[in-house]
Amino acid sequence: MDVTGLLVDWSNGDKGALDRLMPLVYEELRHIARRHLSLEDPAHTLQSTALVHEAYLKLVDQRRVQWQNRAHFFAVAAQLIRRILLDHARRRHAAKRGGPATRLTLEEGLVAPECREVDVVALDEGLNALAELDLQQARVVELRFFAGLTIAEAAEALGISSATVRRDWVTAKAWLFDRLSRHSEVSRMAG
Amino acid sequence: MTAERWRHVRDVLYAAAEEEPGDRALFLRASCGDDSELRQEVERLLAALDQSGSFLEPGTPPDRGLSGDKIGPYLILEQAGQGGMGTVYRAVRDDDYHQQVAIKLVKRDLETDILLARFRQERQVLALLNHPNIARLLDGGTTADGRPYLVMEWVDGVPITEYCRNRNLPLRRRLDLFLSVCHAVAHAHGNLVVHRDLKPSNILITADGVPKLLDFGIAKIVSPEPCPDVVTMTMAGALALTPEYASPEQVRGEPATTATDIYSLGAVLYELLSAARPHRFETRTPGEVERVICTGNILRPSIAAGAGGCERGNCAATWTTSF
Repeated sequence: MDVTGLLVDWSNGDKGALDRLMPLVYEELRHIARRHLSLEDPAHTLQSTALVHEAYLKLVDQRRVQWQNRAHFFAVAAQLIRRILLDHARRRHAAKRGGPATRLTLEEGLVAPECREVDVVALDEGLNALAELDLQQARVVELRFFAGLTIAEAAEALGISSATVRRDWVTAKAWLFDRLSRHSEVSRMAG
Repeated sequence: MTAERWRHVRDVLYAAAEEEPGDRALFLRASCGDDSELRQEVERLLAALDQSGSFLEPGTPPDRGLSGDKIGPYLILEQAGQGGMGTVYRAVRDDDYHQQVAIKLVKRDLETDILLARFRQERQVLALLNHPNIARLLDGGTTADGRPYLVMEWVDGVPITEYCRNRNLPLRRRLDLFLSVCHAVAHAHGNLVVHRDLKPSNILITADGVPKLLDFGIAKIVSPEPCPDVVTMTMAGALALTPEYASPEQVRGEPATTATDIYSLGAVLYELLSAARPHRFETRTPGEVERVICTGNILRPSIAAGAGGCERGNCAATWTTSF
């Protein structure tokens, strides 16, 4: 069965469809990511939402799905792309013999707000720590940041209300920002 | 912190964040009572929230559901990329399925009126750029919802640096390719068109080994002055400066001239020869970028290439060590 069919089945409650869907999406995402990652190294930064979107356009026949199916696809893809980017960042760390590979630039005023990069490895650790406190909040961040879902789409994907997503998002963002900026200060002092 | 404690902190934090900034202190005194630890925790997180700006915020949502849709008379086949100015699609004309084109659909938030005026102005000039190594600007228009788009010749190729690396091209072949690129740029300059954003991802080599320069004159339409669209994709979904090929005048915000393109070509040549880039940036802050590009020392390509690599006519060894 194709991705579109599996997606619709899964959205309709067929749990088994998800197991068959994941590897297909993972393969496509890895394929797309590899292509993008090879283009612009080493200064390379990349837009995960664009990758997820590209995979969606490629795999899913949009005439056969509704927006709810889309949210579910992106929910799967967000987890997968997080893993792919983390693997990539780790490989790059290793290649640079442990040097600080990806920088987190949070200092106000030094760069325009949209010009900052996020350290994927530090973010991943932060998300894991957040998941210990509240798994749902970590999922919300994953959906928003890695797949670019709107509040309403994230609510659909998680089966919770938009108001809850908004609360989870705002507070998770504060918590992660606080954690990541303290960590980067520590590493600056250490360096 | 325990999960239970976090839930409490979170709820107070969210309620406080909903208050007007002036009312927060009062709110916190009321809701934290004697729990000064809670209050400090929430205050710190509130400060973090205020500073967080666009941290982790999804960028402009990508264009949705366009595959199979139409832009003007063009049928979208797939999304081919996304950059600072918008989204690129691979498409065909609905009356000619054989001719593939690249459509650049401009982002919603760019000022469309100015863009359109500029586009009309430049179109005449760009139409004169009839050169086998320059991807042609074919058409342009506006979508039903008023967003401008540009239609360019579709080029199936890989960036020149990647092409040379993948095929382990000897020095001679690298220089031949580079010379063809120079001829194309000279043709454009002869027509008074400056590229402003020459970099490997805009210099593609087709499977037949033909160089094709993309986006000639586009930077001027999309972002005239002072900074060209030296942008790339970022994790966070927005723009980032890719200063590797930018000239001193560009990072200083001065007008681009034909010399700007020559500088960028030099940076590309450096990379083709040495497998390294001329500049190394400690950080990507504007100050550091300007310092490095305008006053930094550049290692000779022959030294950057390592012990002999390219001079022996084969760059393979250096490519593998630097990447």
